[in-house]
Order: sequence, then structure tokens, then C-alpha cells
Amino acid sequence: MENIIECKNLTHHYGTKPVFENLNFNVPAGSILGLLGKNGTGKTTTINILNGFLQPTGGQCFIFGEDSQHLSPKSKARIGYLLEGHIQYGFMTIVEIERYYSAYYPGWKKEPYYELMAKLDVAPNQKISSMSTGQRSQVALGLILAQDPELLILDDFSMGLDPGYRRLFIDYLREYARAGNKTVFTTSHIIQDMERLIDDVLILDSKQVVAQQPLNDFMEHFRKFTFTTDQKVEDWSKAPAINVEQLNQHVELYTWNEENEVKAFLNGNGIVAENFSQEKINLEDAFIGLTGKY
Amino acid sequence: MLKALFIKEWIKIRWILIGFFAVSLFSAAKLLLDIHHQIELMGAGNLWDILLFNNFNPYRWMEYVPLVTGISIAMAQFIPEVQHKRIKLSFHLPVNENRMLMQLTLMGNLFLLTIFLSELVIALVGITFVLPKKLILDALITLAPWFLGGITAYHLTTMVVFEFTAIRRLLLILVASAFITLFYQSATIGAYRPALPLLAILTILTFFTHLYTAYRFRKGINQ
Repeated sequence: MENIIECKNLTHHYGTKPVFENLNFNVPAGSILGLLGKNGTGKTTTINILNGFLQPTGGQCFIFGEDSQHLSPKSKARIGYLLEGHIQYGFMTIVEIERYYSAYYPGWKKEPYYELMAKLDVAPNQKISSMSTGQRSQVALGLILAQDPELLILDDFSMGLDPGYRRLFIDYLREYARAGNKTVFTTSHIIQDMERLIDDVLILDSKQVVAQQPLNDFMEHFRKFTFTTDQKVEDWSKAPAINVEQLNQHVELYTWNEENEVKAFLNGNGIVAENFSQEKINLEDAFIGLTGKY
Repeated sequence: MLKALFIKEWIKIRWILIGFFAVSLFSAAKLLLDIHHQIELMGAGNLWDILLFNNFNPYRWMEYVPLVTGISIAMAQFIPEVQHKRIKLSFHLPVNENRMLMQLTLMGNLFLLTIFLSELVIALVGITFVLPKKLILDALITLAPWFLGGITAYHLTTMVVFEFTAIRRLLLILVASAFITLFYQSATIGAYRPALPLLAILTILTFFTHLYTAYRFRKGINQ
């Protein structure tokens, strides 16, 4: 499958502080990929590099085969971009802003925009700056839908939205992307939202990619086991696990390994585990299990 | 696309523009009233005499009006663009980024020219009824560097607004201020006559100064 985005050996430092080093990832055509990471792992940095708004310290990203630092107007027309915080021109009304953007895109389709605006309780002459964050998010989304791009890059689309608007945003976006076979590269700090939206997951931690795979595979193969033990284990580093948290007798163990491998480790090290079970987890649990709470 | 951009910039700063347009009309009207008042007081002959031989400058109070206009319009136009890095919306449009930046300042220049030319035309046409051609030309030569200074200040302010780091911004303000003083060295009638072509060239050169700071802003350099 053709890759819409390709990043090779991407490295970025702010001053002497490295954000990430030698990231390599691809986004295939038609996939909805969610970029997850704790604060400061470089999600917005990655999006800025993809849009040519930040010169990386090293490496390159390509979008539609073009270096993202020098995107041609033709390629930019194929990319829809949502700024963090749903930033738009607050001094314009919903009609003015639609007319403004329509002049730049020959394939502009205003119908989906006004369809979405009709759901909002706003007057046509109401300034965007006087709208709620949720309403502004719909304006920003509606403009992207009207642009009808092949690739959508969304920087933290959940920011500032209440659950209703988040759900509305996700439902509209998912339906639009699936129907048009669009490629979506998105971040969000609300992981439940990602779970409803994405096909593929890319997780950043410790300055590198710690997982990139289809969401279903990730949820199937990343496991959480819980058990109780009377023993206080000081060092879990040899355990076949990504992350182990022990609070008194209760132990949570996150791993890519199978149940029998974990049990073999426990038995081999004389750790008596009671009430051993595999817990069903959601994406947020898995994310925290993979990257840790701190 | 230019029409759409013009409308967007107009919507963004129309109240500032209307305000400064009113100021420019007031300036022109005040100049006319002052000249007519002087003629009433001393007669046209005496006024011509002191204008020609006594270095009397009735336009002097207008000296910094174009400067304030240029700085204010640049700030009104570009501070909202750098707030929340909103300029990314313009950079993301399917237009070359430098072309977009030049188009944005083209709109600012159009607004400024409209204001400045209205003021000049009203003032100069108004005094043609009472002053000879030679004095009208002197008035134009006296006013021209101040208006060029206003256009220069617009571009240099835009350059400063795009600079993100405090130290560089301070440095640019100092350099820009020193540069602007070239346009305000003397208020003597006709003093800038030989220097006007050079000032016009310097003004045109400042049209490109914001491209450098905007590039740094766009690429997140030192942010």
C-alpha cells in the first residue's frame, strides 16, 4: 500500500534537550493513525515538522513524496490541517470564513460545511470569536470537510471540547474519512477518543517509537496480568514485562508476552502468585501500561 | 485569491483603518484651516514671504502622523497573526509562503496608500487655491519623507512582530528605530529634496525585511 507520510530517522532537539531521536514511521493511504504520547514526547513537534512549521534537527519527513519542509502549493491543497485549539480567524463570521477559504481551493465543497453549521445554534453573522470552543471546533472541522483533502493532520482535536462535541467531532470525522478513503494523522490527549476513531496506533515514549501497529493487533497482543503475592519483589527488571507496578500485595504486569511465559518467570523465580488473571483493558490502560504513569 | 485576502484583511482591521482614515481627513482639514487662518491674520503675501524666506513650516505638526499610522496598522494586521501562531493558517494555504507574506503586506500597503494619498490630495488640492505652485511643490517635498517614513515603519514593524525571541526583537527595534530616524532628520521646508529618491529606494528595500523574521517564525527557529 502506498505511504502518504514517510518519516526517516527523524530527530529533534530543543536546545540541548532531545525530544526524540531517529523516529521512523509511515502512514499508509486510507489509514486513520493516532499518535499517542505523554506530555513532552513530541506529538505537536512531529505535526509541526510534517507541516513544514519546524525544521527538524535531523532526518526527513515526506508527504505525497515531497519533503515536508518544502511542500508545494499543490501538495498543501491536498492536506487539511487542524491547529491545536481549533484556531481560526475569530474576527470573521461563518459565512465570511467559508467564502475566504473557498477562493483558494478549486474543489471546494461548501455543502458539508453548511450542513455542519446548521447543527450549531449560531447566527450566520455571529463572529467566530464569540462562539464556544465546541462551536469553533465544528467550524474548523467543517472547513476541512469543505476543502475535501486527501490527508488530514489534526493536532489535539479534543482540546477544550466537552464530551458531546468530542463525540460529534469524532463521528463526523470517522464517517467522512471512511467514506472518502481519507488518510488521517491525529493526536489527542483523550485516549478514549482515539479508540473510537483510529485504525492504527503510533506511540512515542522515551524519545522513540515504542509501538506502531494496527489498533486491533495492539489491543490483542498487549496484555495486562494481575495477581497478588506476599513477596515484596524489589527488582522486576528481569520479568518478561514492559512495566510492572506493585502496590503492597497487588501486582499489575503489562507485557507483550503470553500468559505461560509470565507464569514460567514467576515460578522460576519463586514468586507465589495468587488470583492470577488476565484483565481486559482499553486503549488508555494499554497506553499507561506501555509508557508508565510518570 | 487576492480579492479574498483583501476582504479578510479589511474585516480584520477595518475599524483601525476607518479610525486612521478619519485622522487623515482631520489632518488635511486642520492644515487647510491653519493656512486659511494665517492668510486671514497676515494676508497671503506675508504668508508666502515667511514660507519662502523665514523657514516657516505649517505642516510640521503632521510629521509623526504617518509614522503612528504605519506602526499601528502593522500591529493591527500582524499581531493577531502571530497570536496562537494563527499565521500557520495562511502558510498552509496552497500558495508559496513568501508570496503569501508579500500579498499580506501588499494589502497593508494598499490600505496605507489609500489613507496617505487621501490626506495628501485633500491637503494639497486645498492649498492650491491660496498658495502658488512653487509652495505646493515645497509642501509635497516636505511631507513626502514623513509619508515614506510611515510606509517604512509599517514594514519594519511587521518585521519586528514576526520575531519571536526577545533579544532579537529588541535588537531589531533598535535597528528599525535608527533607520526610521533617517526620515525625520529635518523639518525644514524642502530639506529632503535631494535625498527623496534615496529614501524612496530605502523604503522599497524594507518591503522584504519581514520575509527573514517570518521564515524564522515559520520554521520555529529558537522558539
